[in-house]
Amino acid sequence: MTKTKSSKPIYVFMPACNEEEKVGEVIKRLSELKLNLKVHVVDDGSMDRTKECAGKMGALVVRHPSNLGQWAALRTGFAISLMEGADVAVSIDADGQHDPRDVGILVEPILNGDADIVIGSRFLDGDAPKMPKYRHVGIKAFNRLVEIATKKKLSDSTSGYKAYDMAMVRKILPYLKEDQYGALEFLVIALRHGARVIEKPIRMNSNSHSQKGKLKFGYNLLRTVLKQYFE
Amino acid sequence: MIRGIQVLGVLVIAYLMFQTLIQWRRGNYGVRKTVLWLSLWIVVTILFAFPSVTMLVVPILAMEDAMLTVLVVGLVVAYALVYETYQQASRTERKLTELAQNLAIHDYVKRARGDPDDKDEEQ
Repeated sequence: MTKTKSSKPIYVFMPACNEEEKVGEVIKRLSELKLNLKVHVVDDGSMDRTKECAGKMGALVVRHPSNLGQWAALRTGFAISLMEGADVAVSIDADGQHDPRDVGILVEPILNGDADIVIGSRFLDGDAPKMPKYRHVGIKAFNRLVEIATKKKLSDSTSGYKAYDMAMVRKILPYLKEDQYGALEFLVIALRHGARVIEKPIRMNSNSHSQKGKLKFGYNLLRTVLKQYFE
Repeated sequence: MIRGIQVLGVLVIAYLMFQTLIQWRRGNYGVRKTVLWLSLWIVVTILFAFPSVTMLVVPILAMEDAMLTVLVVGLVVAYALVYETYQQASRTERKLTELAQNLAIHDYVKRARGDPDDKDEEQ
């Protein structure tokens, strides 16, 4: 392993909104990993005790004064990571659906210099995760749209579990226009700027819930990809 | 003959004029903005009260009736205003998001440096 970027901690940021029940467990499991991690929770205007629960478990908490959306929380995570000079960062959902043990698998290609963005794919490892059929169809449709826009075939373009080379993030951020639903915009622009994007299989906790899959979320993702396509 | 739609139009515009003046009295609108809106309302009032003034453009727009021309042109202008308002709202939303993110980061940096919280200062 060419650990050119391993001297600094890996920044893990977790957008969280009303996740007091799950956030502590995710942080605890991250702290059990034998990795040099710096965990940030971006509390996106929670009405419950998410901030207190995350702080109690040793995470650094950045709190939005109101709910700005998941993508805005990710951007805040990027801003903090860049401000503190991070080389590698990982985004992970706070609802416990992602297995923190996969952080090492995601960051390895970046530490080795083999990739700029690593997507944790729910569909690469045999069994498809349990989710409603319409979400499955939606994810496939988004993958296809990303492929049309960038010629890059992906199995899980909407996954929130990703690792980033922050040098690439720094390069891409000025081109982003979306405030709230920019995850796919980010991916498409990164690919167009020559980012090396790969996927790694991840484990999913099927007991956890996800707010994604709602019609509004799907519509806004579609809007951002189509905008990129026509631009 | 005055049509009901003309009376309704003039009444609605009178209400909008009144609202514009209230905004000016409250200091929400400056003189320039107040004059701009009042001018617009006066023009629309004239169009509703005397639709025949549009007779010049009725043949150009291939319309059959002066009042209908006023309504259709008004509808097109309303679409334009709705779009402009949407754009303005998007810009404002973006600025508010940036502001909220900056506040969050500022607060984080302050806490990381060990500065006391505002709440602590109040206590």
